[in-house]
Amino acid sequence: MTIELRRNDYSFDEQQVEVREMLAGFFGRHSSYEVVRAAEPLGFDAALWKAAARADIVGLALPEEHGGQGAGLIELAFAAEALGRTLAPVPLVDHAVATRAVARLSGHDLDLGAAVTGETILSLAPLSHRRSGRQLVPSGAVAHGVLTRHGADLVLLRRTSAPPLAANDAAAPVAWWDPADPEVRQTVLATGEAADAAWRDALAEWQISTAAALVGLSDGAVALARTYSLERHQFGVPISAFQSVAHRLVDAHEAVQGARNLALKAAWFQTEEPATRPELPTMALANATRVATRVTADCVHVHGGFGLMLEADISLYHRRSALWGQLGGGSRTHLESIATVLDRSLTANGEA
Amino acid sequence: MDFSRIELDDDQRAFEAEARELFEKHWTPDPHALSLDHDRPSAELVEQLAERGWVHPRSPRSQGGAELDPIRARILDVLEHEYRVPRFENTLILPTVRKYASDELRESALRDLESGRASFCLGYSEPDSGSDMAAARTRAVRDGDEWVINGAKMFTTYAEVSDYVFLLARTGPVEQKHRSLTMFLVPMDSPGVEVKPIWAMGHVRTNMTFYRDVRVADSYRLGPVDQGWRVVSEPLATEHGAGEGDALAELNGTMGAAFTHTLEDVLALAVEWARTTEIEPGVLAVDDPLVRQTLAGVLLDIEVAWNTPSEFGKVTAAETLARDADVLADLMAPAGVLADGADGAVGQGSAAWARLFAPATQIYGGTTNIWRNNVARSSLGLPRSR
Repeated sequence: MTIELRRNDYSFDEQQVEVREMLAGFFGRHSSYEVVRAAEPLGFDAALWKAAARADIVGLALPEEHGGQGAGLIELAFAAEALGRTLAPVPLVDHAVATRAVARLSGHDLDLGAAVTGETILSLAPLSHRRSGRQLVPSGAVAHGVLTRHGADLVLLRRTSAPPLAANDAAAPVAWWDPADPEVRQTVLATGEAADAAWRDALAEWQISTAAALVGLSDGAVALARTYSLERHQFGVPISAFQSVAHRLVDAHEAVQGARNLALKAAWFQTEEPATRPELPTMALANATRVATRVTADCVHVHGGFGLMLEADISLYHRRSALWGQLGGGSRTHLESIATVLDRSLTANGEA
Repeated sequence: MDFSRIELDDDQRAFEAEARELFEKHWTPDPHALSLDHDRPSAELVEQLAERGWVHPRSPRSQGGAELDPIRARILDVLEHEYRVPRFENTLILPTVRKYASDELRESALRDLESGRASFCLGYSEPDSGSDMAAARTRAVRDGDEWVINGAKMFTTYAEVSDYVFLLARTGPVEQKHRSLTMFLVPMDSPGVEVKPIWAMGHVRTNMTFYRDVRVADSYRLGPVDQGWRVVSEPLATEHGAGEGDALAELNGTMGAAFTHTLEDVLALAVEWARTTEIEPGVLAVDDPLVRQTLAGVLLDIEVAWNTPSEFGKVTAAETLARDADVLADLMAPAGVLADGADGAVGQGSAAWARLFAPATQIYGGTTNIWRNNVARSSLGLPRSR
């Protein structure tokens, strides 16, 4: 028996730091809470989407041959985090993941140029491999096409106008897409093993990017609660001078650090060695989801009564935290998938 | 970011083989030893490691090390875990001793602490001062060229096998708190030092240590008189995980990694139980959805612990160990609570043991509450809180 060593380097290189700063700058400038509120209840801001396309953010992780910037999943995760932090009302994650999946497949005549410019919006139905019939689709109320499993096939559902918004307090543009709906046209993109492989990759990318968006969302909530805890005085001191408040914020802050590391580690493995730790994408999403729901609830609590008010910005975060994480199924679905590790030989820390 | 496999070359594989041979020859691993954070290797193994400079393998040869590159040091680390060798090093105090030791101490103590032939225990906590370390009352009074030490220290783990105690003593009025403390390196065989065992949950031994008119030469003082707080703060920064992470080591710090490894071992035994135990006729536990969900939850918690950075990694790892040891004991109920070796015990009694051991991990090396105070100030910039 010999040992196997791996690097364990979470640091960003110069270029990654630069991309993260560019993304944080863009969403910080263009996605204020006023913009976020104005986009409710649909949760889509067409002007912001156009601005993101002009800034090459829509096409950031799309192939160069179709006019994209050619970046990878790690950069897409950076973008998702920056978007999540400001709750930007644009379907970047779903669209980028679906478009990347379609671009990896050959033998179809879909115009991906229109996807790179954001004119055509694509999404996917992340539970379609588990249940047939109609699907609750993320960004489904603004999408023109939805990637879906249908038996042994991977199909693209298209309709001329998007189905109606399924009402939700998260102001998320989710909608039901029904393959049996006469308005829906279906194009088979792959079948059999090719479809399985393409779907596996698409789903992993969606789980990781969605996890990154939730990390950003959680981080944004912690930043608001931290500021509030320093400004709000009770008993003559800032409320962050009380351990009951400070420790809650520490736990939230640290949970976010861990969730970010896990999401980015999952992105690295999915990019470089997808077969080595196939459970990581689900782990990243399962963790980011439970972190986000807990963290936003705690951050609302730090705000006291003010946090309950719809006009409090922190409420924007808590209203979104559950929905963003659960469109791919709840923890039962996630843990069931993680449990498949038990059917392989159990390895410690990814090492043999 | 980089998590890629490191292809070991022939020289590195030869080093691995050499290290394996050493452990095969001079150490008998105990597969039932689950905590590697609360014991010491045998004197025989320590001598073998010391001869090679492998107790502090990264240190320069002139400082008792072997000048190993990060990869060889990592190989050694991984093998020590594989062979279940308890963690042992003097890294925590070496920088301080090097910086402040008198010439005599440098000759007598430093060399052996560097090679690992000598070891130390921490004389911080007292019956009346734990987290509030600066309230220590153990007193050192100057008498000519000597100091006379009187007092008692609590939770002096390893005192029964250590050569020195790294002692925080009061050298002025208690009211001056941080400004009247002085550090000493006191030989444990000094007349007047008494070690009394304290047995703690999880089969862990620690000690109460008493100091009655213990006389040490002034050369055993570390740093200026009354500047002990500054002197002791340096190793505390190390104990709290600062300065780690060379892109090979675990992200969650040495203590965080140790606790997470322990939970991994307990989980592996629970999985083994699930694979071999029928929860009803014809149904293995590992095929039951609720069992699978529980085990998957622990797998997820472990992955999160590995990904929590060191300044908080110890806290997350300790609390995860405590929570999930209970989860796993409960999963294997009723036999999960039986002790190792008992009739019908499961998983080597590991879950039952871990839930009793875990509370200590939330206390030693700084309580989780103190760590939260530190992170509140350092990472979030919040005001000092109590």
